[in-house]
Amino acid sequence: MLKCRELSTLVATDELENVGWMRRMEIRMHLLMCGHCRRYLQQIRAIGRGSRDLAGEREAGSDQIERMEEHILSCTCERPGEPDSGTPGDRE
Amino acid sequence: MFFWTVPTDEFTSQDFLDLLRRRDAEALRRLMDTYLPQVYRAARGAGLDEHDAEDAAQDTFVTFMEKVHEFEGRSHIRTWLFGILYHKISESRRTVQKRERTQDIEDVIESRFKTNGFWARPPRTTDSDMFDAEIRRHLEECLEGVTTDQRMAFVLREVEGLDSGEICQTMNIERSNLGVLLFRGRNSLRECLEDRNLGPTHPD
Repeated sequence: MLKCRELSTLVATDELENVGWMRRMEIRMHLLMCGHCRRYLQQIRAIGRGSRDLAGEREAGSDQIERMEEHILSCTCERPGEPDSGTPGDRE
Repeated sequence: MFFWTVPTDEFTSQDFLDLLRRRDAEALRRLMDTYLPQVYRAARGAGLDEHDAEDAAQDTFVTFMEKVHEFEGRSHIRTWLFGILYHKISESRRTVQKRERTQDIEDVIESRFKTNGFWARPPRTTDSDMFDAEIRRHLEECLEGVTTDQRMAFVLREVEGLDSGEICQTMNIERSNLGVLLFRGRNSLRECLEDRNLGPTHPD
């Protein structure tokens, strides 16, 4: 019989999707009967949603991206229009 | 052992890699348009402030271009980029890494269950709207208590949506290690949020 401890571990380690069908049935039955585990699952999922929201709020603006791209290009590439030096610039 | 196929797009073609190896600015720009925002976001997610995340994201692409001749296309470019970023972050954090609080969280989880495997102290009850609101208020602070590796694994999974195989390649770890990192990270966050008072204790 599937215990709460095992179910919560499957949830937190991302193994919920990787179990066989027998286990899947057990999980479904357990969640049907156990409000604590349902709540745990909901909270872990809500934490995922919250982290996506937080990341969305902190994305780089287009100006910032532009500035970073220019910096990277100046470090790594020939300027547009300049002749190719012919050396790939590999650093061994 | 798990199997996982490399996703294909224009960035995995040999022609595109050849352009990069020749330092083609347009090709690099296309790559950056797609992945620079993601790499920056992952750096922020891993705990770097705006300035450090910008440095780390830039360094990641510069290093990538220095090493692109070694890239054989066996993994996705994105995996390589995240891998370089992860390496840079863990190197810079090594000296200031917070004391590993692994044992703490393992003990906390253990204390949550009875010896028969059922909940001794179940998650506190709360309505889901309230939980979402509490998360928004406290998540950033709670993330500070999570180690860099746990945080990276969590962010690559939840925010960037990488599958397990790609995260393991990025962080150079086994699937079981990834499971442990996610387990500890998520439970630390849940415990921290619950400590910040997520509604009344469940009556039973």
